[in-house]
Amino acid sequence: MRRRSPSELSRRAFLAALPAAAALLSCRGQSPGSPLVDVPQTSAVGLFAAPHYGVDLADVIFRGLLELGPSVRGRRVFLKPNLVEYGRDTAINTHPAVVAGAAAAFLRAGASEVKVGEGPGHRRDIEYLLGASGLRECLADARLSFVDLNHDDVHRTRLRTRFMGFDELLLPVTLLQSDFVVSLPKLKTHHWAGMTAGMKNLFGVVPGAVYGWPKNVLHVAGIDNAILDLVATVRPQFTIVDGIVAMEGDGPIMGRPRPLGIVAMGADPVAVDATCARTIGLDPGKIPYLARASGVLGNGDERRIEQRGEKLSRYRTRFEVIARLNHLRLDG
Amino acid sequence: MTVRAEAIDQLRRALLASRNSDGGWGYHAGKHSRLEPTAWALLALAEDPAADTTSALVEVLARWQRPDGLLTCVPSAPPNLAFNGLATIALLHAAHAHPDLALIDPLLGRLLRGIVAIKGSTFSLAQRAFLWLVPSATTSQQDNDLRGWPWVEGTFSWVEPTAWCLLALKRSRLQMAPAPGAGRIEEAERLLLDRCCTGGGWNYGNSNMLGKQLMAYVPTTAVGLLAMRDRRVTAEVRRSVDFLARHRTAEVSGMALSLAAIALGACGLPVEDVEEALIEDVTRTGLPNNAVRAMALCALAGGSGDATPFAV
Repeated sequence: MRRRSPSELSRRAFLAALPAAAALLSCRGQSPGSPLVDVPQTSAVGLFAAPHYGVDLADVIFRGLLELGPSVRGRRVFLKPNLVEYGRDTAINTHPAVVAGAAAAFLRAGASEVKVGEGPGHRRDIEYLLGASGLRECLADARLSFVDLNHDDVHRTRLRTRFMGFDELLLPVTLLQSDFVVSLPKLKTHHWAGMTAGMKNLFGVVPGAVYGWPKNVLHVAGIDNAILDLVATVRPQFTIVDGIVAMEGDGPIMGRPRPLGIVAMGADPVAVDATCARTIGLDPGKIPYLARASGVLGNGDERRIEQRGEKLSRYRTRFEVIARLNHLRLDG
Repeated sequence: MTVRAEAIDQLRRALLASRNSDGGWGYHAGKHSRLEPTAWALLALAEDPAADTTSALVEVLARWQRPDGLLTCVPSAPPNLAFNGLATIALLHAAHAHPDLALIDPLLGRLLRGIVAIKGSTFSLAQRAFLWLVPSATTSQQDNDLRGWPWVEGTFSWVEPTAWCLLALKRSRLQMAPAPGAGRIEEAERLLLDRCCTGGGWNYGNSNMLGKQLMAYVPTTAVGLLAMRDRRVTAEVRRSVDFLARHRTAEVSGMALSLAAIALGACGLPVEDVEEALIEDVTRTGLPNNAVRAMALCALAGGSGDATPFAV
């Protein structure tokens, strides 16, 4: 084996230190430290088997809600799926069957109202996306209306944390008027953030008609910072991750579909995302936004996560990631 | 009444019925007035003798003007440059149709100066140093020094805001002397040529990412072509015309079909099948979004070639 020269070693060390330095520099307004919300001693996360979209997803999600969720009786529930882009035979968006299943489950659990809304950060043509993705037809069948968060009325909202350095954001009124927000994402690798699941999904609540597409304000302020501020401020009370057919490789749009056969659920968004990361072979401690959120916005530490439903080991696998994200692997 | 006339009548009546008491339009009925639907309504109704809306609409836009000239309809919201470019085109169109409206000229002058003053961000010194040290971290093969317009100040240049602001500056040359921002036109054109997808047309910003070519979209390509159709001498614009002509009905939505019909019509190309698909969509959905409703009205009832609000 060829020996590395000292200069190569120092360059390697320098490059290895860059992500940490960049993360430190990118904490614009606030550094994570003590808990920013009431982080419980332990958080329960359930993995529920759903081998394909033809299973009774309302039943799967209802069981998850009973086991893991707070009561939704009489509450106005807002479902925030992932609807980003359309491509035939891809796994970009939360499958319409999961959205319909979740709506049915919440109504069965006693919710007074269920609304579905999204503000795509990529395509701004919502009429095209709803039609091409099949979500419009599915919502019509379930007699559910869709709220276009990009073009909703907005209300000035004080951010509960200042990682981006902003005091406030304008957020959609329909989201703010609901009293139980559910993040309902597709599980995907993400070429900037590492992985997208329940936390990153909240980018879609930022209105494009105010901030533009693809919500570049959030990118410029730091994607990780934006995720933390949005999770702290929106505080989704429940997360349901569509991992039935997930996406690996160059996600969140150009990756490949990867059947995984699970729906992950829980009330702690950090714990749900950390579990999803471990399931697909990524180390939540190496995904910057998850590492920073752990212990501050929820539980990311495996020892503080109580596994329910299926055993994680049954589904644990190794998703392909683009080369620049190899360092995020559990075995990397 | 023909099917087309019925669709135009339906759109016009629905648009007028959903107008807010403050004189503007929200994206949807019952919502607060916003810049984009109000600007599209001004474009669609400025020459409508029965609508009698132009004067009141111009007053709405004047109320939204900040001291720097830019318009913002939501207090504390950053001005959206794409919609400011669109509003400029609408005001130029209104000024052309109603030369007696005294309020327009000062409003337009300030607005154009506000638009010219904003540029998309470029990489900071630290980012440039990082990319120099780690060339593999480069995500897109493009000229990042070119500056067009961002969606909001402090962010990078994107295709839609650049195209709308570029079109506003080009259109202002036809009506104002001296027209402001002549120096921005050439750089914005170079940016749009640089960001053109390999097969023609435009994505939202970059044409490639992490070694992969990105796909072009119908609405972005249509808006890009409206701004660049006077540059058909370039291969990129010719490819983009071909792309839009090939994909003109591929994306079924009021927005995609309306913009495709407007852009292809402005290029002098046939749009009968696009209009048919649009009329079908209007009949099926009613186009509940007022901005899209007004776009469709512009597409179906507007003129073609240089007789449109989008003449350059």
